[in-house]
Amino acid sequence: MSTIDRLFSDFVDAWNRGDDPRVEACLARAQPGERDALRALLADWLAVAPTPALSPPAARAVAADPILRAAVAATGRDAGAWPELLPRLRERTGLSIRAVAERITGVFGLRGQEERAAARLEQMERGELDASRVSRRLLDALGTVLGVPGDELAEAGTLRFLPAVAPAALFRADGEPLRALAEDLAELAAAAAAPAPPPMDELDRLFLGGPSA
Amino acid sequence: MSDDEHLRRFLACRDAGDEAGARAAWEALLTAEWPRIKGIVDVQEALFTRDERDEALSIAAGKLWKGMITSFRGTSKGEWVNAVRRCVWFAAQQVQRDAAKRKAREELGLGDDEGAGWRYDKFAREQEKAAATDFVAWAVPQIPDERQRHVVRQTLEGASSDEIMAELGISRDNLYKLRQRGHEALAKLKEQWDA
Repeated sequence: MSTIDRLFSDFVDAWNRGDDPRVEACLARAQPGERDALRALLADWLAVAPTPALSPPAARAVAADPILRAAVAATGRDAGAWPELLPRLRERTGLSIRAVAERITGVFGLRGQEERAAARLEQMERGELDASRVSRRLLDALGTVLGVPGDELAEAGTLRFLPAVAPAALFRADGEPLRALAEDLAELAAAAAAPAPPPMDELDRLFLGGPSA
Repeated sequence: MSDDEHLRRFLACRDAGDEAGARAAWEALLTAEWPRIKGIVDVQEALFTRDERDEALSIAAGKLWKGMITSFRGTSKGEWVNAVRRCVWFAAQQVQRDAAKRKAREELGLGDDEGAGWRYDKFAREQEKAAATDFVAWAVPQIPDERQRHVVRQTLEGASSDEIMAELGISRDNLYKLRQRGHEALAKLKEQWDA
């Protein structure tokens, strides 16, 4: 039996025992010239392998994996994966929130508003801002500062569950219109008559004005 | 519960618009399949550092969730594994591309203004063009057969098939054979160049 056959068999046995074997450890044991062949064997195995019944220690380790926990948590937030992603990207650049705020305000010509921008950025990092309200212009600028495209920041922020929408029923009322419809119309009329909120300034538009702001 | 059952439960909740049920089923499915997802990320040759690997894993999980709630129509483990592989591949490419861009921007000393991305793209195109020119200059003289070498060189310089046929006094079939073999030789040299 060749070295890679043995390494591959060891991996498969460990997988089937529920040990959650590590691909990188398996590859590290192969000779450099044999790694690609072993990589191909492992890739083929992972495509067809049964879901392992993990041993209790392996199951505990998987369940506690911080990346898995973060991925699950991100699906239930209006800010998606931003609370994990944004601090990590910022730490990689070595910039403080204040420094990022200075660069952002510089890009948009908003000198003097660094403190407010920093507070908004902190909200983004804590997951307190709804990602769907943040403008694409801001995400593009932030992405440039953090070293990733704005598209990727937008994608990471929008992980909310969107239920399939059933087509609305079309009907024409023959008799009295529905009471609920009349109530909805009354509420809409009241809302239309209410005073408009104060207009947003440029900084608020960037953080709260919606994707096209 | 088997992997197929986890998947069926997730799809049933998703299609019923049951967010809480879908998220619970998703957590069970993701946890059960996490060893496979990690494994598929780790067999990607393109990822080098631990940070890149973790980043790809996070991005892949996000892409997978998004794909599963919006467009996944499969029902079997095979289709699920294909979706995982596709998401991991895209995530690995994304992480690699971003790392290369960051490196280039650092080397170029580009700022944060809105034109930085455009300036990087222009730089990248120029780099690719320069790399291709360097490769051709290195590789073409090494094509062993003289006639194949001539056909490849003329083709790369923009000569038409008719011009090359007339110059060498050969038939179209013969030209095509020489061109194909010449480009096969070029492809082998490209592997050496990349290595």
